[in-house]
Amino acid sequence: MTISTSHQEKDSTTKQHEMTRNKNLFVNFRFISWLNFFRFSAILACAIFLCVGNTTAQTKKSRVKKSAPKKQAVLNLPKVTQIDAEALKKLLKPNGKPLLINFWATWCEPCREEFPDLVKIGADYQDKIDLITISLDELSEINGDVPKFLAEVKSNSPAYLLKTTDEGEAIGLVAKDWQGGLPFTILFNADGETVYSKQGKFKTEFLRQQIEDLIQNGKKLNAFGRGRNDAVKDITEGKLILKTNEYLGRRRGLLMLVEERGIKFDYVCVDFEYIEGYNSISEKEIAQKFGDDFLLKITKAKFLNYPPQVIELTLTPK
Amino acid sequence: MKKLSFLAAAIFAFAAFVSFNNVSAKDGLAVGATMEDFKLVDASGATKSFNELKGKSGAVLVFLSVQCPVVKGYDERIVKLAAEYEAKGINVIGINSNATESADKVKTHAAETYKFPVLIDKGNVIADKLGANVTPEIYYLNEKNVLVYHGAIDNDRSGENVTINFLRDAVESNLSGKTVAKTSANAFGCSIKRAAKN
Repeated sequence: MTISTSHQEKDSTTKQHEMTRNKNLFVNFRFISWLNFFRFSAILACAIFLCVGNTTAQTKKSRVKKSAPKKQAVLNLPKVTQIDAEALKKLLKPNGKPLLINFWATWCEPCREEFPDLVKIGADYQDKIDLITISLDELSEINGDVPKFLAEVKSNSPAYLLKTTDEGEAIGLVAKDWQGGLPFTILFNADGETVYSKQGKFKTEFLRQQIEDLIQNGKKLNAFGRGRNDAVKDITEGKLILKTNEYLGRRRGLLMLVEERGIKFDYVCVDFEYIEGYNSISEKEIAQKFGDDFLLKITKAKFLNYPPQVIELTLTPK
Repeated sequence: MKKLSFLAAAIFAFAAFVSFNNVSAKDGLAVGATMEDFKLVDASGATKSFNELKGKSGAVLVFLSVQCPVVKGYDERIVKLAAEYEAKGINVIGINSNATESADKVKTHAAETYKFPVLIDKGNVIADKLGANVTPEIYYLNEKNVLVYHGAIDNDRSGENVTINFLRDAVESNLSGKTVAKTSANAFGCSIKRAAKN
């Protein structure tokens, strides 16, 4: 308590000193400013001039400095290999691992936007999948904008530039349902079957899930999962995610979902939280159809695209 | 009465089947199929129908984009084709279905670049109906609104090494009563940015 009081005293004395000093400074400043206004203005002008001069000089210097690493970067640009339709055909065959291919172009803004995510995916799954990128830029950019951009995003995946006289043929080689819109991303399993493809920007989380599924199962998942044992395990752990190409609201869709998965259920309790107007299947109907293992409750369902061709469901056991 | 209700149920089931098939048709309008008339707002805000805009010998619908560099690369060729085909009774009609491009931008771009109308396909309704995915993408319809050709304009985006004029060949064959040899051709372009609907 005593210490505190003495501190308070000291504080008040210090404050008084400070106030007096500030007052003096203010008076001094006023005195100086009124008397020496022009002199100070002149000094200020000189100072500004010097500062600007310095800044300009620094900018020039930094420009010079910046240009040096650029020259260095040019030397280290990634190699981009020109391919034709024949070479493309060979590239589409996986080499013992799942294969992720991204078709892009420097002029395609969404391609540029998604590319950093692609690079990250490539790094995260480096030993588990092969990632290649195929540019549809003009051939004149093979040593220009294409490798420059790849260097910018730090892509070290094998990079190609497709040049063909028949783009339609090349597009058809890659995927039947691709119209040529960029970007286009396609994931093959190790057997060369298409697991996932997307015209337009991919959804990173969804693509990662596809890759994870593929790595864990070693082959293409059908729309309904990996079979009874895995499914039962996943359901028991409460982390089953099913993906279906069916409109879930259609009775057939949900029945197939369960049927093709190979699981027998007492019944499935359907509780769509996010799909309105499609909750058309009753517990009783499912109870009549399926067997003896689990009561499933669909707790979450959401569209992953629109029109809903892919719907993600989270199922939890009773 | 029972017969009637059975008939009604059958008609309903058939209608539902047809309707479902239309909804889920991923490929859109097939070559040889007839396109229904549609109405869209043009760049100036006026509502226009396809039938009102088409020429006496048909129309070329071209899906465009303000920003797409591939479209920019084709602009000169599209403008030239439009003038040439207009004289032949085939009107070119532009459609912009990109959700990311505002009506103002479309309006300005259309006024600066094209002499034909550019319609704004809000919610990409027509792109969905036709199955358009890329810009530029062409739908050439004859005087009866039957789809004759669908796809790319030619086989070179740069315009420097064109060896096959897909659209020109289709138009010339059709106008001279010959069978169109190539009725569709894909080419690389910009994906149409569709509106999020969920």
